[in-house]
Amino acid sequence: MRIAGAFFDGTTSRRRAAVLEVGDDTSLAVVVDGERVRTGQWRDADVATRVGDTPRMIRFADGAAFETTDNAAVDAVLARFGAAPVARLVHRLESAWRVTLATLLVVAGITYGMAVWGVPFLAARMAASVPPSLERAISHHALATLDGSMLKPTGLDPPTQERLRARLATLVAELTPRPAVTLALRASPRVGPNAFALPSGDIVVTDELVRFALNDDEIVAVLAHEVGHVVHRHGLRQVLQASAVALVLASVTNDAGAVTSIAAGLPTVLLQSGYSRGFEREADSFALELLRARGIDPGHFANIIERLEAKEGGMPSGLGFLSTHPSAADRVAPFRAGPLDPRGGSGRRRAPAWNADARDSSKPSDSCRLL
Amino acid sequence: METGVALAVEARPLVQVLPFQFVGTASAYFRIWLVNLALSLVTLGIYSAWAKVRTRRWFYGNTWVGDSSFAYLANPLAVLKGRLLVVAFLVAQSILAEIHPVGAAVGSIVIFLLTPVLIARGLAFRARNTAYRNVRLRFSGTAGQAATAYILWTTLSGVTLGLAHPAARCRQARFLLNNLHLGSTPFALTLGTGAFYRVWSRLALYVAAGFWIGRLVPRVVPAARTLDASDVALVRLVALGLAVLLGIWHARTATTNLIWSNATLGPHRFESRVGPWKLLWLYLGHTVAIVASLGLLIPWASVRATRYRASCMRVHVAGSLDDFVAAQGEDVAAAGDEAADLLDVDMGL
Repeated sequence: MRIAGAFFDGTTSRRRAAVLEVGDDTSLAVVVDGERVRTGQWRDADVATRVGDTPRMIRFADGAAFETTDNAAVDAVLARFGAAPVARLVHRLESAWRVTLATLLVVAGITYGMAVWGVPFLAARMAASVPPSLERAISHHALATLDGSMLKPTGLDPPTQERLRARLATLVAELTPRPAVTLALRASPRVGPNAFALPSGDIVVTDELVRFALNDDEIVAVLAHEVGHVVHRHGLRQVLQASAVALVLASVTNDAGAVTSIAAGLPTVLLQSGYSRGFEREADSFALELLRARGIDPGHFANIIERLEAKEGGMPSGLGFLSTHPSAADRVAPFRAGPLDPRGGSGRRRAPAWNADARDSSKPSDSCRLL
Repeated sequence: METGVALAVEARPLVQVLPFQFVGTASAYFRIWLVNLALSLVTLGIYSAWAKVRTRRWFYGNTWVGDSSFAYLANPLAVLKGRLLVVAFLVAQSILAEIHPVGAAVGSIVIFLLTPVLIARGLAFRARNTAYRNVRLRFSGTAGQAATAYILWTTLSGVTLGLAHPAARCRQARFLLNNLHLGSTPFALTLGTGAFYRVWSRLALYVAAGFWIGRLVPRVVPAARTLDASDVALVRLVALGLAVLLGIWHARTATTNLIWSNATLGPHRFESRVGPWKLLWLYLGHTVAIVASLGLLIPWASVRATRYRASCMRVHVAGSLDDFVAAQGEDVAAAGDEAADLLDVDMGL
């Protein structure tokens, strides 16, 4: 077999027209102007793997090289004398449109699967292997930072503070393992009535929320939700998921130049808010179980959520996919259905399949609530 | 393939003007890109090193000057090692930053001190693995020179609020080109700081234009007459900001042209004619297309941008391209290459 190309001697950039002669006995020779400038065995030459239709190099040990654009001929020789099948497989994947279509589906499927199940699953597993002491160290400064900016010292009277601390202690008393949660009461006119949990187990409740609540049970219901965030380690998982998404996006878009980093921001926002809604549902279901176990009416949670929604207004219709929380209507439904509910659900003994209901909800809600 | 246009200049050796040509198609790259993506995902990122090498090989192999294309020769395993090293270091640093502020500060200082080393090694790795006509590039810049060009001059540029920026660009370009060789033939850039300041002086025109447009628009445009004082201030600020951004873009493109139009390789010289507005229009269109196609047009955008950039470069060949002599050099580790990627240090091509 004869393959046309060019020969470089390895010491200069001089390009000479050449022919590669491959014998049936796997011998090869590079012929320039009728002279055999290199001879050897096919197996000793370093044949580059094929990348598209770019020129292909066959290198010799002394640095000399034969270059050809006749990729098909080189492939034919490789097929005949045997070559690493893996190296040829990649080019085959890259060359057929039918394979491309299948690859596209695979990529779309994997991307979807990674985004919806893979990243949350891996983050949860990784979070489980991080010792809680490390997690507390990580968020050690978080509350201090917030205290210097958004949060002010609480203005609640000491008996109220003590009462709420005792309620939180009772709430988590029988959980195993017992979560290391502490109540951090803070005034914050800027944040308004709200509560949020830090990975350290500090549950921040604003004075505004305490005043907004009609009774202590409503606050306890909110605390149960926040304990859910702490127990399921949502803070740490959020950070891990954000890093994973950033890493994947960076590796996908790195060769398209800086412009695409703007474009990459959009899917990041969508994914993060989607993950956040998942965490809220998990914390809600935890709160529902905990409140029932303590004999506290889950309806209190529904009541305070609905009043907050009415006070602050929801997300504009159709923008629910940007929201960090599921819609209030979807969230309160399971809490209304319990046997202790004084309103509608008196006759029913069990909650409906609220979990499934909540999962496919995509209705709008408030985007900035931290609860 | 077009062939170079032969021109006789004086009685000197024949000068041939050879254009850079990028011949890859978007449909071919789309498939390579997609397979890279799929295999990288399936192998949890391990394949990304091979993906990077195949991508570079495809882009280099499709970039022609005269009768030959460029070649990228890096070993994917070296790239993988470099990648793992950099990722391990960044992960360790970000964990340290959370749990041990003092340790993290020490880590940051170590990174800072390592930066020039990584820049120099990264450029050396990339050069060593780039070949034209089977002769490799070679980069001989030292970490000390990298520290001066990048750390010292970038700091000076910041301290002087950008006034030293043209001088910094000059030092960096000279660091990049005066240490680069094709085999044993050196590249050279003997351009003084003055030329860079002349290019950047046009920024003043943009600032002046932005200033006056911002002042005139609220008075001349009838709809704007009803604006109150704070809106007028906003209009002025936006006009000035836009003008500065466009001015910087113009000056940056002109700097690339300046550098490459004055660079020489032995007896040969280069010429670069990137159109700033054409390039900006290309990039804006790409951004819209990429967003609208959910990322599927990324390969199309990469190919189109590369084709345009290549079409702006030419080399004036004095005599022949046959006389570059290969140099002997040792292999260079890839960790620096990954770091140089992160730091966005490149030859500017």
